[in-house]
Order: sequence, then C-alpha cells, then structure tokens
Amino acid sequence: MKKGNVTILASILAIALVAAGVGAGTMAYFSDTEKSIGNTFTSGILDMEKVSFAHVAFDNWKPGDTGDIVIELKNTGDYDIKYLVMRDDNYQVLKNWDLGYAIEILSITEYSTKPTGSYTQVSYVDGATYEGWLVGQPGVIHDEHLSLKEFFAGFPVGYHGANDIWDVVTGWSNFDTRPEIPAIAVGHYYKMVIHLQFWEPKLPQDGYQDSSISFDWVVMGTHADKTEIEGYFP
Amino acid sequence: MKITSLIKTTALTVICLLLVIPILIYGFPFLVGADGSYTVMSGSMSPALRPGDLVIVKGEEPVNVGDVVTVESGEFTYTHRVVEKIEGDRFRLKGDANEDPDPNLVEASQIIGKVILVFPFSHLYTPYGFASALLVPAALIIGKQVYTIHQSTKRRNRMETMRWRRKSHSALDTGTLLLALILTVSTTRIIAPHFIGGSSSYFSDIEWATGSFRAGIWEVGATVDIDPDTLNLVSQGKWITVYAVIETVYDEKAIDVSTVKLNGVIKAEWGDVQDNGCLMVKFDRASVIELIPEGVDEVTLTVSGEFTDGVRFTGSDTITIIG
Repeated sequence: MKKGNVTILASILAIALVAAGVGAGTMAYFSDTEKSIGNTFTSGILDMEKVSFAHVAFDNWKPGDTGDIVIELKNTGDYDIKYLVMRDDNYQVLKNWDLGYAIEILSITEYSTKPTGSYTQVSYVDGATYEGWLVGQPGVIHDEHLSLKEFFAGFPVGYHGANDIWDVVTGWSNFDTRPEIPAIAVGHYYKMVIHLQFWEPKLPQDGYQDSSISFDWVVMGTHADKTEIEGYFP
Repeated sequence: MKITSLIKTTALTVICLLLVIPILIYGFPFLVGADGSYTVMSGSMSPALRPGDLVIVKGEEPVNVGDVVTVESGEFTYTHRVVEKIEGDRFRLKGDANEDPDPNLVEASQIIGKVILVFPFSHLYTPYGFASALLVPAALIIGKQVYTIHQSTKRRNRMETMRWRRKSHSALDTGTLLLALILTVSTTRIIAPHFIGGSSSYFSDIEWATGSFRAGIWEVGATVDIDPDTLNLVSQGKWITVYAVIETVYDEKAIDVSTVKLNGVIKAEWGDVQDNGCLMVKFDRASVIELIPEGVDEVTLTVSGEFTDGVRFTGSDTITIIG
C-alpha cells in the first residue's frame, strides 16, 4: 500500500473513532440534563415557603369550639416536590391534662393550587372514616374520636411511629399514588386544612379546664418520590 | 532547540498526567489509598460539590463535624456534610444547599468514607464545558484529518511533491494525540456515571409551625334540687336546703363549700359533700325569702360554687311560692 493511502486510511479511522466518541458523549450529556433524579444529574435548589403556616394558636377553648389548622406551602425552588412528609416535634403538656386527647379531628382537606390562584380540592377525609386508619394501633385510647394526640402518635397511613418518625399524612401527599397530580410543580401551592373541634359538652372534659399544650408541626418536601429514597426514612 | 524540546516534552507530559490521573484514580481508587470513587449526581452540596464532580472517598476515623461523607442507605448512596455528632456513633448530615439538616440520623456503619479528593468535572455538564471538552477537540481532530486527506490527494508539481514528502504526515501527530486524550477523558467522565459509581443526593426542605392549644375555664353543669319544693312564706323554719349533683369527672369532695352561693349573693351557712357525691348546703331561710319578689307564684333559684382548683359549677331549680 502506498504511504499516502495509509495516511488517508488512518485519518478516516481517526474521524470515525472521534465521531463515535462524540456521539456517545452527546447522547449521555443530553440524557443527563433532563431534570430528574435517579441515574441522571440534577442541579438547582428545592425550596418551599410557608404561605400561611407560621403559628397555630388556639386560646381560651371551650367544649364544642372548632378551628382550622391551615398548612399552605409554595414551591419556590427549581424542582417539583414529589413527596411530602410530616411529623410533630417538641410536644409538651404545659398545664394540667394532655389537651391533645380532647381535640378531635373532624376532617382533613387537601388542595392543589395553581400559580394563578385557582384551587382544586384533591382529597377530603372525614373524621369518622379516619378512625379506621388507627384501629389496632398503640396509642389509641378511646373509640369515638381521632384526637390530635393520636394523630401525632401515629400519623395515619404508612408507618406508625413515635415523634421522631416522619410520616405521610394522607395518600395524596405521596404524589406517586395520585398520578393525575404528579407533584407540587414549581411555582404551585399546596394547602391542607385540618378541621378540629374541642369535645362536645357532656363528655367528661372538665378536667381539661385551663389545660394547655404546645408542639411544632414539621413538614418536609423532597424532589424524590418515595421509592427513590427508600432507606432514607427510618 | 534542545531546551525548547525538553520544555515541550515536560509540558506535554504534565498535561497528559493531569488528564489521565483523575481517570486512573476514578477507576482504581486504591492507587491513592482510597476506598471508592463516586460521581456527584445532584446539587444539594453546591457550591462545594457540583453535579458531575468526581469525589474520591476514604473510610477513615474519626469522622468530625464539617467532614463531607458518602453514606450508603439501602440502595441509595449520597454525599452530605456532617453537621452534628450525636451520642452512640450517630451523625446528623446536611446538604450545603439544603436549608435544613437531613431528617434521619446516620449510623457510623453506614458511612462509606470521607471525601478526601474532589476532581471538578462539573464544567463538563454545562453547555460551554461540554462544547470545549468534547465538541471543539472533536472538531479540531476531524478538521485536521480532513485537511490531511485533502493534502495527500492533492495534485502537485515536482517541487511541491519534494517539499510534501520531506514533512511528516502521520494522522497521529502530538497535537492530535493530546486532543484525543482530552476527548477520551471527557467522554469517559460523561458516559461512565451511567453505569458505575454515582453518589446521588436528594434535595429537601423543611418548614414548621409552632402550635399551641389552651383551654379556657367554663362552668360545670349541676342538677339541683331545692328543699322544700314549695316555700310557704308565712310558715316558720330556719333553713332552705339545696342538693346538687355535679356532672363531672372531678371528685366532688374537692368542692369548696365556702364558695357556694344562691343567686350569686347568699352565702351557704354550712354544708358538705355526702358519700354518694351529692353536695348538700343550707341557706338562711329569711335571706332567701328577701330575694323573692312579691306576688310571684314560683321562682327559679341558681346555685353556684367552685372546686378548690377554681373550676366553677352552676345549676338551677324552680320552686313554688305560697302564702
């Protein structure tokens, strides 16, 4: 073979090799830059902001009084929030009896909100059916009501646990189970309203007079769905 | 000429080593005494570690606050910073870019090791980095080869052919080799994490609210029976007796008899809580009669009082008036 032909052949070979390498690299690069987690790269930040969830205080409660705890969060980060977990922390009985047992959860309602402000109700759980979530679990001390105390002791659905265990509050907050609402999209809102009532009169609630409790209500959001971060929760 | 050549060779060697060493350590971390190499897959440790950076991890004691460690949790491997050491060989970790620490604690046995070396390859994943490390070298190599092919097939006169033959025309000159090396390293770094050694990391954010409930003070209801049921204003007698059964879980013995009043004004003269839990108090008859307006056939009287801890009870009964 002439020397010139060898040179040409070597050049063509080099071009082929480089092209193959660049092709593979480019494919890998573009599959990486998709925003998701797993075997791909992600960057940016995940950030939630409280819209109305700063301080939940109910004072001078009397039997029969009702009130709402409203948890409203906005996804202000770069990633869709795919999983929300909650727990209580620093639960303290400040005076007299543990008032947590006397506060009954009547219902929990969840909403998904678009940046435009339009609300969609995505779930409603009535207190009566809620009771079924905790049947047979430790920490349930009476039969008729799901109290705030029991709710904290074993956040329904998912794990039962003590205070240091994170848990999913409703089926919806693990967005995987609701494919039609895949996540709290960037810029979108999430709202949960927990409707509470102090026990109706004529129940033996007098001992709760002047009782008080305090607690922190903690909510965590992640960009991974539950299966992707298995092992991350205790 | 010789010194220039030496400098050239040295520079070339250094550049080659700089390119090759990270890839060698990536493939064979034990070369530097490390235990593993991982590609950072997400940005929760930004800016210390960016997605695409290569971290070399060594399992060494002790792990201190401030160390960046790679942790194995189930099938999930992630790299975060130690922010707190907790009794019993447990650690609290946090991603630098996360606002809050990770919710779970990490056992010492889950820690694969400390990050001892970081090769900043993250630029490869930016469009400019990708262009400069992959597309530009590739374009240069291909351009050079196309030029070589063009030159070797060009028609030449005798003089030109003489000059052409005197030069080297290898497809693999030094420049091309160097570019090829850059290309190989970049391609390896971009493709390899798809198959081996990715250290994921998750983003999370925590919000919390403080909550409190305080119950007020309310009156407890009582079933009251006033004796006599019919009060004859002209007949004689010293006492009006009141029996009160209080609907409460409280121990009735805790009623403070000295606080018991009729219509909020007449104090009980004396009384006590009977064994069946019923409160019995006696009021001065003359004082009660003073309360009753003239000409009425019946009147409702209210009894109220307090338990020793301040909880109030109240109840009423209606009696007939004659005389």
